[in-house]
Amino acid sequence: MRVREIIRAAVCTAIVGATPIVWAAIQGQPGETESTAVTTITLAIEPNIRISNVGDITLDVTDRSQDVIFEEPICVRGNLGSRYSVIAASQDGSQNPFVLDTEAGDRIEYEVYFRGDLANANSDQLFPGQHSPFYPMMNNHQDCDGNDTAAFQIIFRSEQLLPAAPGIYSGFLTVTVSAE
Amino acid sequence: MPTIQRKPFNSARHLGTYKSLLVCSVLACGLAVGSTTAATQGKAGRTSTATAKITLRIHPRNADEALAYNSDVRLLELQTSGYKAVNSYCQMPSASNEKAALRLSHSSDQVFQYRIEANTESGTTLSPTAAQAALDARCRGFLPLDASTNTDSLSNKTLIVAPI
Repeated sequence: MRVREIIRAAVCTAIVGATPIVWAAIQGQPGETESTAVTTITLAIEPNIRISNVGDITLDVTDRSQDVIFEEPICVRGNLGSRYSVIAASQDGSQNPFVLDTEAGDRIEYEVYFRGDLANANSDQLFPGQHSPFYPMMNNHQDCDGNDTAAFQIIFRSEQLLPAAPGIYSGFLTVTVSAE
Repeated sequence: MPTIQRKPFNSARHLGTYKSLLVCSVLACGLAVGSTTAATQGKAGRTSTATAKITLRIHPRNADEALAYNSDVRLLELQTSGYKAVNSYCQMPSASNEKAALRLSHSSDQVFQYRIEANTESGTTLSPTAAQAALDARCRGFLPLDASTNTDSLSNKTLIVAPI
């Protein structure tokens, strides 16, 4: 019986890619023509979430008199009926402001907002390293079948742009989505 | 406030890019132009993280600022009614497919005169001929404006000085 359990565990792992736990079940009693055993099967499905359709962003600014707002639609897919939150971080660390740098050392700050529902214009400002409110999961298909479900916005304020030296500013923005 | 919004776009003309065309809204056109390429996508799990590189190119406000920015060359004069100096500075391209910024446009066949000047990093002003050489060196592939005669003729087209 022990060998059969090991084989069963190996097969189960190979098929579903999960780690099974095999508990002692009710074993069969010896009988003339039949013997019945009862086993309990428990399948624990962990929350599964993925962010995709994110692109690198390049912006050219020639007029600094107005704020520059860029919106990046993305796909967040997972188990329908669940919720998720978002954490954004700049390259310097989770708690540091969102900034871009030039090679010469000039810096410019920007703001990040998140829209969990593209049908709704409302967005929440994200602060470095802090959880956003929870948003409902809108799609459970691979890459949302091409239909983005959410968006983040980056905003460069005019008051930041006006005194900035001309040049090429760059940096990284990390967006993490977490199942509730 | 104007919002620039990326729209999905797939085309064989944009090889190597993913959703590579950004269409700016009517209000935002002229303020900023954005484009996107594939970033690091998240993996499936209890949490998922994607990372995007953000590049902001702040252009000089004018030729003087352009000189302080990254250019040694500026167009000083352009004498003809049909031509208009769109940008009067030479911006160092960061990629081979970017256009330098000395750009002229015109509405009809005209003969125009021009004079260019190049400032070195030490502040020395070069002669037109030397300036032309500086143009060639700084903005590879400059169109052959004849600095020795200061005159040239163009058919009805937009002249864009661009690196090759």
